[in-house]
Amino acid sequence: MPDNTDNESRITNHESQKAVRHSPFAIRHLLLVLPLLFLALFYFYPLSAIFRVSLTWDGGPALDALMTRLFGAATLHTLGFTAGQAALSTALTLLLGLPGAYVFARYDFPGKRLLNALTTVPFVLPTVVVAAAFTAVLGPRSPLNTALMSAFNLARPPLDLRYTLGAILLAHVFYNYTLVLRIVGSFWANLDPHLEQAARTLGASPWRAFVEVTLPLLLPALAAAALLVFIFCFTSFGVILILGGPRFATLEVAIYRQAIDMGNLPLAAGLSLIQILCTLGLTVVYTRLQGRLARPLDLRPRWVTQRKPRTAGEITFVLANVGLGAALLGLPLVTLAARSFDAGLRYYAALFENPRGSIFYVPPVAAVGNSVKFALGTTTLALLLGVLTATALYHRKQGWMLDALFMLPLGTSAVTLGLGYLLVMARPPLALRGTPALIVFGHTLVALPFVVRNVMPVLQAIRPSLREAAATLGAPPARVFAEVDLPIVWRALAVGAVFAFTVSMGEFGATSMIARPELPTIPIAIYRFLSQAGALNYGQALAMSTLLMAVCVTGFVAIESLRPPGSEW
Amino acid sequence: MAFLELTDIHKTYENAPLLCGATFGVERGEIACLLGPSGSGKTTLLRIIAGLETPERGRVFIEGTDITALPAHRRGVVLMFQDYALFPHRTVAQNIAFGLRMRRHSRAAIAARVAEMLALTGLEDFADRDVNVLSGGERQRVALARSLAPQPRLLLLDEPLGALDRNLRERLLEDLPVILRRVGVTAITVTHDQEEAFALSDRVILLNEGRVVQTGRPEALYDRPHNTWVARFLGLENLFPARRSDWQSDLRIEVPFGVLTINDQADAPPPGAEGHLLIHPWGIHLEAGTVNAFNAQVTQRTFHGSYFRLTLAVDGGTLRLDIAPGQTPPAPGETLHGWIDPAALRWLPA
Amino acid sequence: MKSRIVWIVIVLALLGGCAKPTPEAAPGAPRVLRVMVYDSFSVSEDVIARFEAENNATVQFLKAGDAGKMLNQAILSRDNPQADVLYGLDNTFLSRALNADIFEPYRAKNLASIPKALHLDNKYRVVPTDFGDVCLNYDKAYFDEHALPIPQSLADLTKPEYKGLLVVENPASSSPGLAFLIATIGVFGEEGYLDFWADLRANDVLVVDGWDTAYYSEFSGGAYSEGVRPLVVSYATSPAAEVFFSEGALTEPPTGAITAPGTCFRQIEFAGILKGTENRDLAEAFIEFLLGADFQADIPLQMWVFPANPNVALPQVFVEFALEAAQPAEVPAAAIEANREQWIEAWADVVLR
Repeated sequence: MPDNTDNESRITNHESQKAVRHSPFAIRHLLLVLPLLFLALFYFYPLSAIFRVSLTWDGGPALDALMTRLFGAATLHTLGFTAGQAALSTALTLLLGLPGAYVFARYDFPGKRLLNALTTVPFVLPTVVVAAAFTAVLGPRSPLNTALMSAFNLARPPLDLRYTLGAILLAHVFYNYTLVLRIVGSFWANLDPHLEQAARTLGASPWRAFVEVTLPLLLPALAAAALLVFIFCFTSFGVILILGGPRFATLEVAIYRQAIDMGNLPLAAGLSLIQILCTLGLTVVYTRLQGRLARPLDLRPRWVTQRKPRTAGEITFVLANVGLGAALLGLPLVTLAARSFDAGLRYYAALFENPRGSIFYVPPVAAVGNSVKFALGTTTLALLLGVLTATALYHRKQGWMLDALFMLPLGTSAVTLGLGYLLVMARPPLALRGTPALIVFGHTLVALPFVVRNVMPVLQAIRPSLREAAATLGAPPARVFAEVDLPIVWRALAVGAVFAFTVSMGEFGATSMIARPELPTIPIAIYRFLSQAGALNYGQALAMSTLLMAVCVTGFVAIESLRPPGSEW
Repeated sequence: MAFLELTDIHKTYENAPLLCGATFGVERGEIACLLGPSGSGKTTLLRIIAGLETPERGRVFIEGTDITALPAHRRGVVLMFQDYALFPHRTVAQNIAFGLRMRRHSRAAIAARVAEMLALTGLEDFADRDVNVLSGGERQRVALARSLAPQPRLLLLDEPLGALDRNLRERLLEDLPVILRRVGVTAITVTHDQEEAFALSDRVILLNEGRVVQTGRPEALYDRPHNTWVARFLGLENLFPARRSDWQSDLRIEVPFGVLTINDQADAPPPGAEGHLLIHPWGIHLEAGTVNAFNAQVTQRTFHGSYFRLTLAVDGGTLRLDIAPGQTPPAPGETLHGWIDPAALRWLPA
Repeated sequence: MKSRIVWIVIVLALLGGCAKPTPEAAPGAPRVLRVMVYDSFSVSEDVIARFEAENNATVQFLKAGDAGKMLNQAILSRDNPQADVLYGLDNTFLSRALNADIFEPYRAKNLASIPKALHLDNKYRVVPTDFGDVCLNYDKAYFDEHALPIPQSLADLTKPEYKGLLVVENPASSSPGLAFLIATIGVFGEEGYLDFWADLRANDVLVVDGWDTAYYSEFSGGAYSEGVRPLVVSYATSPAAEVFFSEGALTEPPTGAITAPGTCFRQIEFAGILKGTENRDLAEAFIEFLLGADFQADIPLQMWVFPANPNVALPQVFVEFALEAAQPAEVPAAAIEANREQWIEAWADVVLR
């Protein structure tokens, strides 16, 4: 063959290959367009606006003084406390949550579904309500303390966790237990039990088999859960203020105080930046690790991996864990719900009355309706964007940086972002101030990481040959996703949806800043009741909280029962 | 042009060349086998044909059409994976129906075809079973049924018997070509096992270090390997360095233990050429003869059930041959005379 | 192809969601007046309806968090204001608002009926609408049972008989907490208040972050209070609210408010027209309305504070049980704004660390 034709064919070859090789990547890039646009418009744009304004605030801050304060001992102290309590909370939550996750993953027992739904309830409850529940169970006037006082003839209640680090940790476990249970549990439930059994036959004790085989395989889900718990505790606000009391302050608390109470926007912005950088650093480490931790697994359906507890030991173990969960999560919730009936149905009846003719009276049906509408909108949008993001990123080596970006909103001070929204959502192209859409967008920003973190480990664990087999059998990429990925990740998606729904239902801060009074949500109604003295107000707040729990449990059960055929995982 | 043509396929994996200019064709209705040691790039070639990998250079044609850039799902080429890749969330019947659903067949047509495939693979009673509880052989048959159901233009099988136990393998080694021929599909299997390759295929494509080293019908390949690597890979071990005598008229070859005459005119090397001589074991006779006589000593005798394998020491090497157990085999240490049938000698160029 | 259509639909749907057009007022249709308020603001529907009817307007309330959050939002969005009128600025934040220059002056006619003592801005940028006194509340049952005298001054609180009885709110995060801190500064002066707080700390004062925690979780007096401490920083109207929200179960409040001279801080709330309003005339009408009899009379039961206009009739429960501080402690608004952060920091050093 003459040289020139050879060259020519080589060139055309090259070009056709370029097109070929890049086409799947091009599709993946396209998948990211929407999530990235969303992130740019509703996260980076408002955030950059608030940082820009803070630089010109009050004629521009005295930079030297600002830097001295920003990197002063007080900030270091706060940062140390923030990270320390978050690490402790995360460790404690993992420690308590892992056995629970095991029980939920491996055993089938009556009432499991309902229990599963109930564990997520704390996630939606406003901190004030949780504090009230804790006070009722552990407070100075709780049955426990009363009993102790009369038994030992004490003048003061002996047991009082309030305003201690212990209270903060306990509350963080209370809130985040479900994250470990759900994220680790749903992954664990599809892990092939043969792997652990093989290790046992090779001479490993149950504990060794867990440490050497199961634990390493669980790591992707474990790391995902730990990261979420840590970031949540790292940016903790209400728990620190109300249960920890004034002696404790996280960065988030310091940011709020500087921005709102002291009006020191530049310092608040600086602290926010520190908080964001910490989150970013942590997430980057995580996403880099995750690529190394995740490996394709033979995911097995639940009917293969789960069974009823049989031996006395197994039954005891299941009961002990359910008992622990019930004591930890159930007791405060049940106490709360029970107290809302202290005056019979009076507090519930009062929800439907507006004796003072207030223009801000919130009919409970409207509050529930608004909350559910926002939550459904958030869930839909978060699922859409989350699935796009996870699909685009799960197999990319370079995806870690982008992946980390999507986690940032979780680690960003709500008040900073809220003020940013205020600045940029007023004029075109984003004249959204006061629209319901903005609330949905704000909630989605926080809900999105939950969907991504739930779906990604499962997507990464699906054996590539399954997708390739579907492709050679004639399924185009979208079809492969619908037929192979979707049914297998459905559980994880449902868990993500539950969290998205929950995040939206319970969210108060952003809603109160961007909502219109015509569209009150349940948490807003609860706060309204709690801001005035009197039994009826308190009772109505309890009744509304109970209503919130009921709506959430209904929502969870509904979401989890929505399953396409073949996805009973 | 053949039904399937691959030209000059190049592919590197983690900066090491994996395929370097593989070129071959497969005819319609043929069952071809890509045979080669592990790391020879055969699975990658299969994935390139399926559209799951893109070659860095080279083209793939089916029926004269360049499909190099065509995505996997539009090729009509089905790959049966080594691990079978059964969808764990679907039943046996749903797995088999998958490809048909992708082609938008009617429900009735899908049901009929699934039933047909279940019957073909002997899985009639398995339709609603959970694939997660099937045995290895059953999984293999489901994977085969699923692959054949949509009537692919080309079926690719990656180590189709690799994951099975010996008895099952032996049986399927017979069943698989019968099934494939019954449906008349063009197929390429990949294996590292020559026995499997010979039993399954009409034609073997032998790969080494990313290149096709020889193709041909299994018997032809075995009978006349192109070089010493091929011979050794196929288990032909009676190889000796050799030199042809300088006389044009004389077809005599010098080997370390003597001078042998060949009657192969066609492949005869030029006078004075150096290379290797392959001696097929079936041409070695352990009795005194007039042509190509040799002396040897038995060094080893092993019993293989249906035959004895003898190792004979000759000057400059060893000869191996198998003899039927009906005869009394010579014992190790015995010295004996033999001759070699000139028809069993093959000249391999250096 | 199909999937591409789906994408386009999704994108369009999202854009559609974003580009919701703001409703344009048709001629003759009511004009919209936007009023920014804090979260606990409340007003009767019929009172607003009357204003809307008289002025052919629709009032849209924008709830913007607590008072501090609301003010910061107003300042941040001053170039592009979210509302025409802001209601609920109190005297602890007044200076910050005036310094930020977010209000348009308007000399309201109805200002004539408001006592001079409540006018804190002589340039008429804001008008006082109501006031409430932050003061100590006590658990009547506890003091009866223990035959303990009710404290009559702030200094009393450091006495040993009141050890471990008081719960206060953190001034850094709570508006009554800040008010109480300012009261102590008003009483003991900048040089003396820290000593007082050190004594208070030695006397086992409990600091919590919010009013609701203090009142519902720590205080023992309210009908629904969970706590064990019989003294709390709350409002002078809280006992009245206890009776009102007991729905007839109580005829007497279970708590009392201490309004002795030099124990309270008066929070005065203001309203003003935000700069950049396009509805100046309507905003002026609204300011007049806020000072008018209808709205003033509506204030007590909606927000549990006293109307600025002393001539309107108070509801029965206020007449019977709500008290006004005799001589609230006084600290000028400018001093509060200038020193707030230092005071709080110094306080935190003494009380928390």
